Parts: sequence; structure tokens; C-alpha cells
Amino acid sequence: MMKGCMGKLLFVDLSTGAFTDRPVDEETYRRYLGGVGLAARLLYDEIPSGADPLGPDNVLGFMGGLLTGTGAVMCGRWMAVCKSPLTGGWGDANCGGTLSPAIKQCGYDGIFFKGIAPAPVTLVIDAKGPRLEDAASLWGKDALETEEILRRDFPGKKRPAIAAIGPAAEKLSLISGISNDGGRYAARSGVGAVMGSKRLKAVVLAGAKPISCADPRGVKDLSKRYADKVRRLRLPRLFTGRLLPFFGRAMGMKLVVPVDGMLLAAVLKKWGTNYNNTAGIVSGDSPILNWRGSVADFGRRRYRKLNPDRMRRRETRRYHCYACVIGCGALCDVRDLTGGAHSHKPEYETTAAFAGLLGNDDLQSIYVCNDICNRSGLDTISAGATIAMALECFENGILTKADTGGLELKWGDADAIVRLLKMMAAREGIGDVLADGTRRAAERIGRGAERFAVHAGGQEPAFHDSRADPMLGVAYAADPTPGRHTISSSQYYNPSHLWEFVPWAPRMTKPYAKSKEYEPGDVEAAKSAAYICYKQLADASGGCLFAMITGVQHWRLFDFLNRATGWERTAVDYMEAGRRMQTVRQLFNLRHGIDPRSIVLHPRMRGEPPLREGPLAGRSLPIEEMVRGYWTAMGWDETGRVPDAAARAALGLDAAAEDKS
Amino acid sequence: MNRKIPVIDYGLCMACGICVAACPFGSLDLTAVGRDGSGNAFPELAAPDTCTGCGLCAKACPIDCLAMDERG
Amino acid sequence: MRIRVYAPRFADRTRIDDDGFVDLPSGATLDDLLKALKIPFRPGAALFCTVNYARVPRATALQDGDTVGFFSLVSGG
Repeated sequence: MMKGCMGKLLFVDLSTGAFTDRPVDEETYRRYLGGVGLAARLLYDEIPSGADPLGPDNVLGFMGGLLTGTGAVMCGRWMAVCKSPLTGGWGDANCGGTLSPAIKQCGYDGIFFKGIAPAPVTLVIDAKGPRLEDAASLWGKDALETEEILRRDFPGKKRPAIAAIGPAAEKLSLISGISNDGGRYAARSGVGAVMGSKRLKAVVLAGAKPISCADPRGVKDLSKRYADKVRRLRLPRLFTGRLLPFFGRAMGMKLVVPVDGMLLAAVLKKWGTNYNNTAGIVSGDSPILNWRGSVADFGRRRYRKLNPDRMRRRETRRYHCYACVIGCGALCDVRDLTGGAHSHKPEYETTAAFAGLLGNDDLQSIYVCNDICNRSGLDTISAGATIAMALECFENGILTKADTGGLELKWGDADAIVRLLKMMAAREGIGDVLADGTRRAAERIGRGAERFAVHAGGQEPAFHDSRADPMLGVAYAADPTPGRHTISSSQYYNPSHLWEFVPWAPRMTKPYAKSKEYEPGDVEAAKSAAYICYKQLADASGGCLFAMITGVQHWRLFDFLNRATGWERTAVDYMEAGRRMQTVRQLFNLRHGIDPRSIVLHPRMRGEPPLREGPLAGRSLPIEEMVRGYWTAMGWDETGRVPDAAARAALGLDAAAEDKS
Repeated sequence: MNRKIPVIDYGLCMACGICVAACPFGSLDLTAVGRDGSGNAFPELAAPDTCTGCGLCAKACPIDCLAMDERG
Repeated sequence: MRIRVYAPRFADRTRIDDDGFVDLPSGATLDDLLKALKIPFRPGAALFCTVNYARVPRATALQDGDTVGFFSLVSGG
């Protein structure tokens, strides 16, 4: 009997208030492990094709990971899963915080909601089991205030883990997410809108069931070794924020060298993701002015205002997600800016969204925008990207003051940006048009607005430039949740050391010319396939992307899985499970009518035409050929469809037929 | 009564919060901020009266920096 | 002895083999390795260097199987 899993899922029918436990057998865990993989297989069956993502037939899931709670470090992530109202296909959003172990401590590997509640409700689970409570008095309150009230009023002793939505999600903004622990976000795929459509205001989890582990000593041994390295790593005092742009320049060089990703933990301990605030602008990683500009438009005099050392001054304490020994997060004092108490700091993506992307160097306004998004529920990435589109539309006369209620939209105008964001959060005026992301906004505005709607398959890309990393472009275009930066890239692959465990993963032990990444071929395709399989395994386990980046030779995912579950599987076998999970996600999209070839990167994302200035001048991506290469490497055809035999195998249909005979 | 309570080796602790989540009674919390100048919020026995000495925290700690010891 | 090295871009890579290892005589120090990689400004460079994930004095003797790295940035996240 395997360990690590809870053996069952909870289904909540919000239309009727009924709770159903659904047991999961070991074979299903073996095939799909947990987290996103398990959910994708389940929802492939549960959500009918053609289901309205904001209707009763959509299912919203909250998933823990198979390794969560087993003592495996860096395995504290939870995932929201559903059919995405933003893209029309598979949706999942990944988040840290405290919810992942809490889901399993309630006795479940995942909690699923179908139907629509007749009035706003909160799900509460404690020692007595699950119940739905009236949430009418909370509806309309922001996500942080909602959590504070629920926490204050919770009668039990154990500190509950709470996930909540804000007003933007209540108002069905397709670019809204779900908050946990006061502002950690499952932000992408419009998962907040799905929660809002179900009138589910919050989830309060206070269970205390134990989580099993086959070999706790063995798991702890791996955790200790990892923790020891993180503990030892310390940057020299000389390495201040002012040096980051120089390191950023090194990132953009013509030679790619092998890297030990573990050393990134030292950088994350000090600055979190904000190390990239300035380095990314210099390297070309951060898109500038809605992807049309470069550091030539946002130079040192401006970007130095985003020096992450300045952000550290506002920090009141560091923040670790559950089971994380690095602690890249922080809480900040923003009372002088927003009147609110402690707030999670703006991450790199948020900073890039409201700074370089919009030509804005006012750091204070970044904190204000972060707060507006955290409270209302808007995804900072998609919100910033949609504002960028609005600015460019205004610049080109496609939007005028008549459309914006008199608000003049200019690049770098922090006040205007903040006011526009508030309008989006409240769905007021032009904010209502922009609150559903760039694709919908372009459709509603017309007049050629789609020229400035930078998205892939309806989801706005994050602030890592695919022109700097073609493998990232493949992930933006080809993952069933397009536009996400947390799936795969060369920057992630190179430190992964997957080849030490997986013979078919291309080796990266020698330097190579950066230009090779722009040449389609079997090696590039195999790298994409390998990293994406690894990503699915991490998402099934509850693992953090930063642990993946430190390298699988340190964060020994395959060994963690065996020791926690009691299985004795090879890395190759686990990677097959990763391929299986990714195939199911692809099948979900196909079932819901998405032609993979229709997910096209905006021309700016693929360098058509290339930039003329900056570190990425002249770069463009042979994206279609590279995407076809990835599909082929996954065992699918050149149109992104999954051949019947592979589909049946991925869904386990032949095995099921055998069982029945 | 000689009930044991958790004692944390802060030289090893990495503030991962696993012990806090493992406690069924909410006895531990991440409220010891600033111990080492890092800004990390370390766990401490924030509600000692609720601690039953069950030892689940020590069992859960992934790096063995928490032990159950006699009350001082 | 074989030392696993993740050298910065500007290092001389003649002594690094295809698997990322450098052969050094036993007793060699971190400073000897930096010299072998022709890394300039060794006192400063050593500050950005780790041996088995800890920062150590340049004169520290290396052991067979040690891993030497240099702080750098990875984009993403």
C-alpha cells in the first residue's frame, strides 16, 4: 500500500450542498501521481466538452501535491485547476503559501467544486468534516480583509489555511486569481473568475490528519542535504543591488555556460525574485513598453530606481512558503502608501508589469498597484499587460479621452496607471473593457486594437522575453496553458542536470553558442520535452519551480518520490508519468475544441519584426518549427494532435478495458 | 507534570514552517522574528498552554532541528 | 584529483573537460584553481566563489570531488 497520498478526493456540489468522498486507487496514483496531473485526468472526464467555464458544469479544484507533508522540502505548492475562462482550454495556477498541506490534512489529495451556490458560501473543513457557511457578509470585501475576518472569527485553535477571492473575481474578471495567506496568488488562467462564478468566496481549512510517508528517515536525509547547502550559501557583502545590472549583462552574452542552479538560492534568500528587477532590463529578459522597446528606452537613470535593495528597506520580515528552506518572499510595511498593514512584496513579475512594461520608474506606485491587485484579485501579470495595451491604444488614437472618461493615458504616468488599474479592479468605465485581458479587450475595442494585444492563446505572457530564449517561446505557444513563464525555458533547463538521471535528456555540461538555441532540431525539441515532463512531475508533487531550477541533482525529486511513496521506480518511469500528464492536459484542450496551431504568439513575442535596439536587436524565433519539434518529441503529430493509441494509453483506457474483461 | 515541549535549535532551523503546520493544536507559530538579523520569522511555542507534548512537530521537522525536552 | 567546476563565461576553459571537471594535483587550493582558469583579480573573484556551497578563503585546499561554483543569475520566476 503506497504512502504519501490521502487516498481520496472531496467533491462539493455547490448547487445542492452535497459532499461526496471519491476514493482513488493506487494504480491511478501511479499513473498521475497527484496535483495537476491527477486533476487533469479527472477533469478530462468530469467537465463536458462545450462547458461554459463560468457555468455550473465547470469544476474548480484545489490540489495538494503527492510529496506535500511527507517531509520533502520545497514541496509546499498548491494548484487551482479548472477549464479556463481566459483561454477556453485547460487552466491551472500554481501558488505557494500555506494551503497545500492543509488540503491533505483535511484527508484529501484535492477538493473539487461543481455547480453554482445559490448564494455566496465559504467551505470550512475542520475535525468535524466539511460544511458550507453563509458568506453574504463577506461578498464584496477584498481578499485580504476576507481572510482577516475569517481568521479572526474561526473558533478552533489550529491556525486555518485560508484561500479567498476579491471583488474582481466576484465580478468575473477573466484575469483574476485566488489569494492564500494574505496575498500569495494562484493568479493565472482566470481561476478567480471560476471561483467567483460559483459564488464560492473562500475556503477555510483546519484539519489535522497525519500525512503518511514510507521512509521518513530517507526523505529527511534528502531534505537535510538540500537544507545544508542552502544554509551555507551566502553572498559576499560586496554583492549589493548595484551589481545586479552587471550580472544581468552577463546573462545576455553569446556563450551559454553550465551553471550550478543551487547558487541561485543565495540570491533568492537576499532579494527574492526582485534580483531580476534591474538585471532583466539590462539582459533583455524584461519586455519594455509593451514588448516594443528595450533598455534603450528605459536606461540606467530610470531602472536604478527599481534597485531591489530599495525594496528590502520596506521589508518587515522574510516569508517562506510551507516546506521551503530558501524563503524568497517578504512582508512589507506599506502603510504610508496604501493605509494597509503588512503586505506581500511585489514580486519581479509585478514590478516588471507596472514598471518597464509601462515605462514607469515610480517604485512607490508599484507597491500601490501590487496592493490593488492583491486585494481585488487581479493577476498582476495580465493586468499590467492589459494596461500596456491600453497605453499603446491611447497613443495611437484607438482609445481616446471619451473612452477613458477623461483619463489621459501616457507611458510612465504612474498616477494614470494607478487610476486605470483601480477602474479595472472595479470594472468601472473603460476598466470593464480591460478587466478580461487583452484578447477580449481588443475584440470589444476594435479599431485595430489587436495589434497591441500581446498574448498567446488568450493569456498574456509574463515578463521573460521569448526573443531571448526560444525554448521559453515554445512553452508560451505550446503548453496547454499558454503564455506561462513557469513551464520551460533554456534558462531553467541548463542548471537542471536532468541528464544525470534521464538518459534521453540532452546533456548540458559544455558551453555552447547562444545562437544554437534559435536553431530547431532534435536536441532543442528533446530539451523542451524533458523539461516539460519534469515540470509535470513537480506540479504533481507540490514542488516549487525554484527547487527545480536549483537542479534535480540537489532537489532529488525522483528519490523523494520513491522514499515518500514506497515505490521503486526509475527516473525514466517517472518522466513517462510526466509525459502522460502533459498528454492528458493536451487532450483536454483538444476535447474542448482548441486547435493547437491556433495558439500563436503575438508578433512581438516572436520577433516579427525584430527589435532594432537593445540586447535582443535582430532576434526572431523559428517558432512554428520549434513547436512542431516539441510536439513530435512528445509523441504527438505535427498538428499537435495526439494519435489515438497514445491518447488511449495516456488516459489509461486500454488498461481499464483489460480490467473489465 | 513533566510534559515535554518542543525545543528548537535556531542555529539549524530554516523557518520552513513544517512544524507549525504539523501541530494539531496551534501551539507553534512563526513569530520569532529577527533572531539572527536575517529577517526570517522562526517558529516558537507561541501558545504553550495548548501544547500537549505529542511530539508531532519534532517528528515532522525535515532537518531534525526540533526536539522534545522536559519543561525547564 | 577531479574538481567539478562551474566556471564563469570569461574563464579559460582549456583545463575543463567535457563533463565539467578539472584535474588538479592533490593539495591544490582554490587559488590554484582560479589560476588554472586564468580568472583575473583572484582576491575579488574568490569572494564570488563557493566550494561545496560555502565561501572559503582562497588558500583552502580542495578535495577530490569538490564542487566549485561562481554566483550568477538565472532568469525566470
